[in-house]
Amino acid sequence: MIATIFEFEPNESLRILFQDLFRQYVSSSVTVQSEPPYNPLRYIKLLQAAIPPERGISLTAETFSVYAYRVYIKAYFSIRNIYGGDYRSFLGSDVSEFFPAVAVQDRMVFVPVGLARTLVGSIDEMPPFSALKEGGVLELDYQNETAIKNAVQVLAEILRREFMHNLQAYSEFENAAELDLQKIADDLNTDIDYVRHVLKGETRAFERSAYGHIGFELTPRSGPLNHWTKATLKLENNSDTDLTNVLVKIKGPVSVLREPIRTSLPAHSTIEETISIKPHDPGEFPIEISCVLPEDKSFADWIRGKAIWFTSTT
Amino acid sequence: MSRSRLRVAVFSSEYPPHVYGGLGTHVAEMTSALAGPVAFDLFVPAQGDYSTCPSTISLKEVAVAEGENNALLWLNYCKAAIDLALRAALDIDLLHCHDWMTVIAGIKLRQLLNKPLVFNVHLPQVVKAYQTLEQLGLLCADLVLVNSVSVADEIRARDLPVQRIEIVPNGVDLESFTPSCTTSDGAQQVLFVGRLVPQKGVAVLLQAFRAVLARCPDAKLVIAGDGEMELFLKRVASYLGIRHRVSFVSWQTGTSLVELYRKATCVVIPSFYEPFGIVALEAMACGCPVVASSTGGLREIVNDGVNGYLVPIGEYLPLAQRIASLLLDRDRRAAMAVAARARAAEYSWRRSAEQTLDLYERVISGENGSILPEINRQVSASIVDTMDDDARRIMTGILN
Repeated sequence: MIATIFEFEPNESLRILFQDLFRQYVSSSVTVQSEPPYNPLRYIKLLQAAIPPERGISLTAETFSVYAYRVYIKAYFSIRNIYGGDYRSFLGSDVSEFFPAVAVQDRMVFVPVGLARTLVGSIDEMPPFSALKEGGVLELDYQNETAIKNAVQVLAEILRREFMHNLQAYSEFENAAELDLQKIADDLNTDIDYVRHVLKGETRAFERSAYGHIGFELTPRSGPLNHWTKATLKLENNSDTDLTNVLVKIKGPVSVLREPIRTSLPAHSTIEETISIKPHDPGEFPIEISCVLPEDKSFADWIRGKAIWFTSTT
Repeated sequence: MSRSRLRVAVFSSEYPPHVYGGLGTHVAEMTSALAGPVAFDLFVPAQGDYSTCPSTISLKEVAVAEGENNALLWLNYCKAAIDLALRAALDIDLLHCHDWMTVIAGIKLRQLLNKPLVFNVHLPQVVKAYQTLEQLGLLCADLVLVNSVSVADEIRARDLPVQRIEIVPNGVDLESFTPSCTTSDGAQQVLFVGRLVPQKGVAVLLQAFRAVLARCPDAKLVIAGDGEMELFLKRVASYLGIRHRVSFVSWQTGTSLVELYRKATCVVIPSFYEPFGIVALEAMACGCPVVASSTGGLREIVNDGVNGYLVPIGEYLPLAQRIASLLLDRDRRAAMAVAARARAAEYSWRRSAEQTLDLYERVISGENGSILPEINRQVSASIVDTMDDDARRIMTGILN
């Protein structure tokens, strides 16, 4: 597992500190490498990945061939009226405010304190980066060793949860229980030691969180175009958690009665809901069914649903 | 009827191998296709290695100090290009500038040489500093060329006194982009080709592909391109659990790109905005049906249900529906492949070149000369007044 420190000035002691902490808290297989700012393309891609697309910020970086510290970084703001302008450029010493920054594999995790404000001018209304636990970054004071240690500990838990989430999502398309760990590591862009480290102590290969363990089935999967068809939606909760007041969302070129569906799903139970469905498109098309827990209502659009293919007949 | 050979000075920010979008390809193809009836003086940034430029084109490399790629850099480039053109004492019939980066050179030379200016807008600008220069080009050109009805409408909606707009679509190299001679091995391969930037909507494609896998579990998605969103998209793919079904193969050109099109079951263009959509043409020329967002020039190229599909912008379930229907229905795919190739054949560079030559001749024989209508002068002056100090100083230096 590779962690990278992007540095403006070489700082070997910082690299060693991160190496020790990552090996202690994230995985013993972590190797920390340093990268100077002269080829900033990877840095920019990593930072861009920490910015939600809806912020409308595009980052670019280029280098001059003749100057010292010849990098410049530019942020374009495609949505007018936020962040106050079309674009902002950072040259010379301004670029130093982007460093150091730390990435683990393909994920930027730490940036220097104040970078959000530097990048967009003001963060009063909308910070440019997501929070670390939401896939974004943490602004870190690199002079403060205690803060660094705390941040790495928090990061270790977030990376573990993200890995488990991705493993669950992956298992929908591959029977991960039958795969060897090396293939899982390759497919999930990590290394086998990290997979072993995370799965150690797990009684099952997949975390028992609710979303990964709700199953959906719809019967029948066909009905006449523009006519109502009575159908049964089977919901299966294979998790260890009782789920109450769950919102079931159905998305696609269909009308559904009654929607939204609210229901409760005790642990390890199956319930059936009778619905009516009217397809508006001819032929075969996907309907996406998802469950949203009350506490996640504001993230409803981001929760992965299950695609079920439906055929409308004429 | 024989034509006397025209001499045209072309100003471009790109030329192969330094190509970042459709502009560079357009300039290379058009100057090559018109090399018989037109003698070109081609002004490009001095970056070296223009070895593919044919000897029939008089290449003039404009040296400009390195700096941040912004409006000021391109204004300085224009200043140097004007000096170079004047030193060369060109005896030209016409000036032709491509996009905002070079148009100020065209405006000044139009005034000094008393020759008409053609301004090609490939991608209308939204960044204010760039749009300002573009607006000046629109106001001062004798003819504005665009590549689609969509871009023409966008420019007309700005309500500027543009003298004349004509549409010359991009073409496709029908000899290089050809269908495969062998039959498909049955693999279900979905292909995206383009820059990995928000405008291209690749995250929507990833969401759609996840739904496609529920119906076509053996399907693969190939993403050919590069850009600042690459790592974001890889993370989205991981989040969706499909990272291992998606190959990111970086930017492809030449025969490797043609091979990708030939192997693809369909090409998806999920853009939020696309002024033309040259990827659609390339894919269709290779006999590959396209599933595209209903936006911009794509609406003009793709006939929904005939040679591909158009789907609502940003909606992944309809996108998944159309992708799966092409993966699953061999007969439909075969019929669309034939129709796609036939549609692409309507867009040859030769045809675009003939149209451009005709427009050159009409502009040259026009009676306007270098006199701009008064309203255009007034609006231009008011636009220069809105520029920031540095840009206005350079502009004033160029235009006075």
